[in-house]
Amino acid sequence: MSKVSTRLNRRQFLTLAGAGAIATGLAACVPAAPAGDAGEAAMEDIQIQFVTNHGDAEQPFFQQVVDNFTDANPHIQVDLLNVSAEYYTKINTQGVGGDLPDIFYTRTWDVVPYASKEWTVNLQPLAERDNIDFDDFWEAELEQIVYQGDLYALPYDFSNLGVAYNIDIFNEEGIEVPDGSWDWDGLRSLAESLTIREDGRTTRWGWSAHPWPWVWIGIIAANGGALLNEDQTECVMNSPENIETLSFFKGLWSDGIIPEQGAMPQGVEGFSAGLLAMTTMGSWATQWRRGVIGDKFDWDVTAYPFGSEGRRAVSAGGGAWGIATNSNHIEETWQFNVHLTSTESTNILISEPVRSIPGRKSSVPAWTEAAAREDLPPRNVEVFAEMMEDAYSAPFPAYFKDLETIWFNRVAPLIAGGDPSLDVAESLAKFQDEVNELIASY
Amino acid sequence: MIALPKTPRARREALEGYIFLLPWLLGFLLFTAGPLLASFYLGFTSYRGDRSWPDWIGFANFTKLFQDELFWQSLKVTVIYAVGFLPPGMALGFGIALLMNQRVKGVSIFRTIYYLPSVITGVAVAVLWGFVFHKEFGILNSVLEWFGVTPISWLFNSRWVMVAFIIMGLWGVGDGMIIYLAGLQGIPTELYEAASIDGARRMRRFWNVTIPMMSPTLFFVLVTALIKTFQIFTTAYIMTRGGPNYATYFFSVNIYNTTFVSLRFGYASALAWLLFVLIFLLTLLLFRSAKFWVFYAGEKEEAA
Amino acid sequence: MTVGTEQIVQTSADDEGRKLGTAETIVTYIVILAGAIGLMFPFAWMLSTSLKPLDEVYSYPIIWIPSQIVFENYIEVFKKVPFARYLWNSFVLSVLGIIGNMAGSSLAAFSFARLRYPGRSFFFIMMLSTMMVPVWVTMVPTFVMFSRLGWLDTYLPILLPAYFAVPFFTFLMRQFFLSVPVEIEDSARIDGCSSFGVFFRILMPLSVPALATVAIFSFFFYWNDLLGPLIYLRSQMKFPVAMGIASFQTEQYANFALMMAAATMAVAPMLVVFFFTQRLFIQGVVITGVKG
Repeated sequence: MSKVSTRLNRRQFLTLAGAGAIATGLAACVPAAPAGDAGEAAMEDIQIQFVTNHGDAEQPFFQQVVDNFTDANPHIQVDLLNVSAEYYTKINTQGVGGDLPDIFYTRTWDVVPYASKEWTVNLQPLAERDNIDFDDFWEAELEQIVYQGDLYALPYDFSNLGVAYNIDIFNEEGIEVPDGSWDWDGLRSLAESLTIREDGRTTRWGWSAHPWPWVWIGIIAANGGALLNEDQTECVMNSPENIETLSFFKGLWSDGIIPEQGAMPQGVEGFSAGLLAMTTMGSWATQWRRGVIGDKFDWDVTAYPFGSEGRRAVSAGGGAWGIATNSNHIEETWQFNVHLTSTESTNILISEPVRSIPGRKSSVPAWTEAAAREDLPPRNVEVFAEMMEDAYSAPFPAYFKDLETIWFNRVAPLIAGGDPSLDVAESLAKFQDEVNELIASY
Repeated sequence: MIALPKTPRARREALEGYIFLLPWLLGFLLFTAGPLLASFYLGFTSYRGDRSWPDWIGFANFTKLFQDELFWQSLKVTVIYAVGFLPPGMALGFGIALLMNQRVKGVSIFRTIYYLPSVITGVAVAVLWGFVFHKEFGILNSVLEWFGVTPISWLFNSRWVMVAFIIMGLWGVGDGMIIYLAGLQGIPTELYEAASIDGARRMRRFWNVTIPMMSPTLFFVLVTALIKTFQIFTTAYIMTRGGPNYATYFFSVNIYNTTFVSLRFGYASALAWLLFVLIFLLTLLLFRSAKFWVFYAGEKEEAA
Repeated sequence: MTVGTEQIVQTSADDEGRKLGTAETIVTYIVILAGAIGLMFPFAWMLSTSLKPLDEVYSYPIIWIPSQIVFENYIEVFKKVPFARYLWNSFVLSVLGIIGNMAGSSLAAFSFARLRYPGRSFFFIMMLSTMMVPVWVTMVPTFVMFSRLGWLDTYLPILLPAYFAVPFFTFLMRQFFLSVPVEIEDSARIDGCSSFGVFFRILMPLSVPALATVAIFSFFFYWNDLLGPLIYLRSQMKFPVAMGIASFQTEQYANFALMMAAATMAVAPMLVVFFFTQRLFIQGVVITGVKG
């Protein structure tokens, strides 16, 4: 009971007491006041709720990191909860309700929205006090976990995309495998020569793309265009450069070089089924792909092509950990967050099991070493880390998720196919108008 | 104006009525009314989920609604879907129930199989749709090819996606099967016997006995299906995310996105209450029509 | 008016089906079979996927019969998550949910269908209206309410509403009660039955098919429910199976083999229950012992 009442501010309490249970619904509008000073209770037993958004496969690693922390801090108990499906429904409900877990997983594009709604704690003073080594984080990721100049999350991993290719297919065709020094035209002509059409049906495609907007921010930048203006107050998608870029990608599927969405049979993963000679591969997928490909063929991964501007500008997004403003134990939660994102823990969570790019540069050697240990393809895993050198770097705007909805309706069909009658310029114009309307409403 | 019951017997019946109503009434007051009022209130605010008291903006959300193209689009596709899905959905569900009511060998196994769609969801069903709607290897396009139709990208072409959605909706009609089956049991056999003596043909018996006796069940399925259809969400959320080009941006998808993606709770509440009014009016219309076609053997006065 | 026992003996309308001719039977079978094959498809895929080694899962063309049948996926499910516990939790939730829904909805439905009092229509419309408000906008206020009540991480927010007459089930029961001939009730009333007597001794026994429908629906609802547990529960040991299945799919990739093994185990009880309980709403209800 005391736990409940400490979370209520005076106005809410009056609402509650005065109007009874019916009014509690209305109290949704006044979320709990943050009650953050817990320093004095240092030696009392403390419970921290830790909620993350991963699958069963990650569970043992998180448990190990939690156990390491609680062994060293016996008075702190960390309740680990791993929620995969509908994670955001849970977090957003709890966020508005003022009842977030003490520490929770946040993708880097969620950092700004959560911070601006005061759901997460400004970690800048704590980070400065404890001399957190900002240089060990990726610059591009640091950009994404900062709001109004202050740090609001500590990084877990960072992800970008490369191109996986089926070495057996290249050998069969007598074509040399790509070395990563290619541009988009090079990818296209290579993919074209690997595509097979029989009786009017494609039995093998050269490559496949991903329609996610965060990926495309980089691709269009590398080709001289931009999604948003410098200070992100305006959408500038409808530019000649972007029309050219997207026409190029529309050509890939309308010419049958990459599969249209839905062209790949459902429940089938095209690359491991041998239906794709090359594919876009996320940096997080190494172990998963090893599992589903098995020893069916030899394969490897290489860097994304260079854009027309002579750079790759690969865009990246990642995972991080925020601390809830409604937490009663911000200090202890911060200590746990520091432990969770230390090089040692990052090694346990990411490098040893070969997940996506570790959120700390100092963990990369352990990561590449672990990737090579079993002598399995892909052997060139470190290419993902190398691409970070000229990564596209800009924060995600607060309205990014909304932009994503518009993107999936207006731009994704240009990249992924389905309707050949779509006009690139018209689609981009609609997209730009709708995004600008969106920005105006924020 | 509600008239108070006059006779002691009527008063007693009224009291008993309230006692039996109590579970619902309490539940409504305790668990439902509060959140409903809260969301209604939020509809007049610009609340976005932050840590401050919502700003009252009067009817601004509602006036904005009418200029919001997405609102009209989502309303349009929802109505198109409802009109396209409800009639075949009702007919097919009832047809399956009649079929499953036959006494043929192994029917209990078939009933279980026909109930599978209500039990299995998610990935396995998505795989099925991949097989049906696939542009090159799909069953649907293969059949259409015999008629010389060029392959259609069902789920990713904004002109065809609604047809695909109606077909996917029909997949789930088995859900109503057990409601119909339960209703069919309520038809006393002697009605059929009497009809047989009359020499009524099978079709006549169907129209003169089965349909009127099933009308309360049909009415139930119609009302609940209407409510459900106007709230269609999961298929669009999983299969198309409302696209392409907002062709499946159903009202509920719009509300979900506004609530949990944009976190614009105020505007989302306004949307939701407008949808509520719409469904409410349609339901009311159905209840008015019920007087003409729903037959209640146990009807006393004042039943809807 | 008196109603003799023989007159309210109800048997099933499927007596009609007995009169099918041979040709009709064959056509019926063909139609039923064709439908059944289509409907079996996802289940067959689920089962097949759950028995495959991982590198055959995503192959093309789909490998329907695995090169070797592996039961490891099923064992893995139990190793990776406390799946037995999840099954038990779902069982508890379902049983308690069924009881609640049957009790709550039939009481309120009786009131709406067979008793007359001022405001009945108003309350009925009110109840139906609550079905019409999309769940997403009331979710946050509801969460806040249960959170303030201190009910988070308990089954109360998930189960309690069932005991207070869920509108869908109440409406269903009301329709059923309304179709029970008024003469049956009148005769009982003349015998001195109170409303409680009419409810318990006449309507409830007559309503087995409808009650079975409510039971089946609420079983499936609680067995499949992801949203309620997702929002209100915090301890993994309280999770139901739906949460267990979801844990094999992350945003970036899914392990279909494990997912389908878990899903098959979750679906199997539902099919078994359906298969054995269908009698309850298929066979006509025979009432005896009501004297005119």
